[in-house]
Amino acid sequence: MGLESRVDVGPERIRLEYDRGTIVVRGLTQEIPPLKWDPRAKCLRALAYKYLEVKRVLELLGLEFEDRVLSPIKGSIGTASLKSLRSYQEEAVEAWLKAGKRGVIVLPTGTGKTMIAIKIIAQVNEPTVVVVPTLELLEQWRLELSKALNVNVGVVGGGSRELSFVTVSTYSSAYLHAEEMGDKFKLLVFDEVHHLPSESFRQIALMSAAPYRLGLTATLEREDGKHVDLLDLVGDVVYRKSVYEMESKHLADFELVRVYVEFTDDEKRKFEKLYSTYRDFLEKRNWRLKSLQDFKRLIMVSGLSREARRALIAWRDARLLVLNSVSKLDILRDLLKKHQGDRILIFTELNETVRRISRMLLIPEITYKTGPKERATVMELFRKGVYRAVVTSRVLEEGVDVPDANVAIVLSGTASRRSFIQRLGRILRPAPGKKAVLYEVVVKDTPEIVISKKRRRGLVGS
Amino acid sequence: MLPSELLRVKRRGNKILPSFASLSHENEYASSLLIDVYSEHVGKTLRELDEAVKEVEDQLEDLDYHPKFVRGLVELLNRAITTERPVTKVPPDVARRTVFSVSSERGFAITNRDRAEVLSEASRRLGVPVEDLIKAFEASYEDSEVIIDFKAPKPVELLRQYNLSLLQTLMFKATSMTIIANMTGAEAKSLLRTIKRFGLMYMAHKEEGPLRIHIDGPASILTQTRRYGTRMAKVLPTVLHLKTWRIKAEIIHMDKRYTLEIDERYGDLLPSKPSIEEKFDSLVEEEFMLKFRAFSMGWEIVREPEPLIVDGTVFIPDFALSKDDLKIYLEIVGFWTPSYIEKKLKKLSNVRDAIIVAVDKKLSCAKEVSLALKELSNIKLVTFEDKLKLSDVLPVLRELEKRKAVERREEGLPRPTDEEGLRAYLSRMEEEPLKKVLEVLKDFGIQDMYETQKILRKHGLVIVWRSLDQSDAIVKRLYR
Repeated sequence: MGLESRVDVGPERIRLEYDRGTIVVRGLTQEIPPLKWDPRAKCLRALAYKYLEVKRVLELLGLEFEDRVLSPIKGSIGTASLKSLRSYQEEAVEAWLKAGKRGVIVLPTGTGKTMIAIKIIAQVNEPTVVVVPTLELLEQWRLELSKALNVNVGVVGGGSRELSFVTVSTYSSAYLHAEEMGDKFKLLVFDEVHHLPSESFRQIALMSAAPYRLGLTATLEREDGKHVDLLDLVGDVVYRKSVYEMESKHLADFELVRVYVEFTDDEKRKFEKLYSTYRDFLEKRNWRLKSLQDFKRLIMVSGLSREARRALIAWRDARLLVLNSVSKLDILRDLLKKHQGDRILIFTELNETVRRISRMLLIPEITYKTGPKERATVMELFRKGVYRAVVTSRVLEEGVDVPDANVAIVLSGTASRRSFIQRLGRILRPAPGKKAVLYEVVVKDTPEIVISKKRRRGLVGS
Repeated sequence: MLPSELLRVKRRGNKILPSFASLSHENEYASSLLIDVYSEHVGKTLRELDEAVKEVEDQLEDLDYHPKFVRGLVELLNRAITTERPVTKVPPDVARRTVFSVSSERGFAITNRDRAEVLSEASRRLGVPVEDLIKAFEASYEDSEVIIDFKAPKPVELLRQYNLSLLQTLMFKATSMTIIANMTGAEAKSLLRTIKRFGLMYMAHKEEGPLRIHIDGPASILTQTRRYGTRMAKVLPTVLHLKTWRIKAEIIHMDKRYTLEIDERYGDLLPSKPSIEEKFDSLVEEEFMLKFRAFSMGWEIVREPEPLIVDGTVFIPDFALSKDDLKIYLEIVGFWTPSYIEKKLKKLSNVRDAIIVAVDKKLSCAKEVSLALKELSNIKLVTFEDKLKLSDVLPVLRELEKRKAVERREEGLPRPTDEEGLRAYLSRMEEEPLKKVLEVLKDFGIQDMYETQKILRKHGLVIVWRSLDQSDAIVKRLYR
């Protein structure tokens, strides 16, 4: 193209382009919703997810335009080796396709949502990014996708930044790189899609021009009510089945055993002293700690008053005492002895406790501090049976698959939320001829002082 | 920049400011106490450092220092150390894998005795003494790392660094930011380069007084977002070395909107950066300036003069040439890519001031460039080969001087042309029915709709269609 023709002021052709999370329309000056005039760049602009709408409007007005928005990653799915789906999984796939390749599928944990997504990705056969909440899930999805679809799966997150025809990313990395990723994919898959409506994560959806979108979750509803925004970001709920509607054979069955332990006298004394410091502080202010919100308030105030800080430290130490109680560790020892041939998952909330158990009993640990490489090694050796136990503070938070763990030991503060335990239990895989079993180890007669964010989240929608 | 939980702010109405640490003796004391602890721990492990730091933190807290302030200093000092994994006889991951595997085989280290047995079996398998095995096993814990270097700041500098970090942390929550400052061309260039590098966008304004640069990101006009806050925080330090500056930012903090306003009076609380050195874009410019200074005949030359605002964007000509009340800019169009030239021409065509454009004849598109520029009345076109010579530019300057002399003799300002009348009409406009505007434009000889849109756009106006009927449409100001 000669320079003259561009410098000269003939009527410009209407051009649609992608610009860092937005769609830019050049050669047109009228504001037509959803397009807005951008005085900074002297062009019209809309958020990238309005791509289809912008195209529709321009076509409706009979305007001719050149579409340069998407630069999809080239490639295709290899010879996919898909397991045959269960009937409800087939139904979910059909429902999503029928809804125009957009929408949310709601199914309980442990019902094979990954299989549904894989089937959809294979069927659509367009560049796809799968967005997941944690690094564990990242690794798990990467393995399953490359196995089932026979492709090299790109990874964005955990220090890696490789884009491929099929790519997996964490929500945080997809948020950070939304500008660069927004024009490269045609299908977005959001695992645990209830995370998406948060202020920052929603930008992954807003800044992408991908026309096809799939959301997966077991717990759609959010406490803040923002799940209604998913209609705009991903699409309507196209398929939904509750635990009760599912046939029981699809869910793993497990036995729940609650084990009570008692403080030693010394521990009891210490605990009472610490607990009263904390309780007196609250009583003086007439506070009742009912929720995470209240707890946050305490932390905020603690930045201001020394008394509050002291209360907070007392609370923390009391909690540590409960979690690290000597008798509790004794029970853990007994349980480990009892389950010699099994695959055991030990869950406790505090990283310090995880490390303590790992060091003392020489059991591999996974915390949020564990690097991706070590994490992958631990998971793999656990799967292979070289490691027979793993102690962790965070897996399972979002339904991470731990194949072949048939025993779980939860060293909780006091009583755990039922929904949390249910969820954990569902992830266990019974060994042949044996029922999976979940132990919950609880200190007797201590007030409820452990408020777990993770477990509260587990409550949502179940 | 600090973790957001260490942010401390002062709020009053809708104003917000970081709780800056003053450069008092008390604060300097806390700062130096912490720096000493770090200095003393070079060669020791992070675990040892952490314990010592915790002790000092407690001590300072008892003296009524705010724990968030103390933690903030610690955060910054942690970035000034370099650590290394301890050297081990076997790689830590191998040691761990062996220990955990042996432990799993034997049913875990249930008792102390089991533990000892697992460790000795693992050390046997790896062929190293138990002591070395344990060291390697522990080495993968991050607090086993050894501090090998600490770049100790001065106590006051640490406080200033803390204040800047605090300000930047508050800026994370910004939806937009405006920099109001007097700056030279070089300073403006450096600032704009930073803005672009971070994928931000700007809109510049100037009406008597300093330059105002409003900064946000591509999506900002479509949705209220704090997405660009982190990047705006990174732009901040480039402003601090200016002589006078003011920053205004829109902040969303705890779901409420605030305005942050801060200026050079806070400068002493913040670190200052060395100002930007003069750098020439090309050899052609540098040579020309030296020659001009030597044979200037009363003309003065300033390189990268004060920025001009062209349609909301900043344009910094290469030179400003002035003599008495005469002033003309000079822009050298050297050897560049066609897309760069295209952008430059677009900008030039909107400049209202008198400007000499010197085009390199070697330029593949020199002809087209010249053609395009000849149309524009404010532009004096000259061409050069290899180097821009004084003799290329001097005739233009002489002509200017002559014309000015004639004007003075006539003792009167030239009659406003049609163009000026039109400009005056459009620059006053805020909102007007399209129909009326079209009638006025017709008087000025503009009938074509495309031409109309173009000229409106140039003046910051757009046509808003309320329906497909032209008589419903209005012309509205979008920006100034």
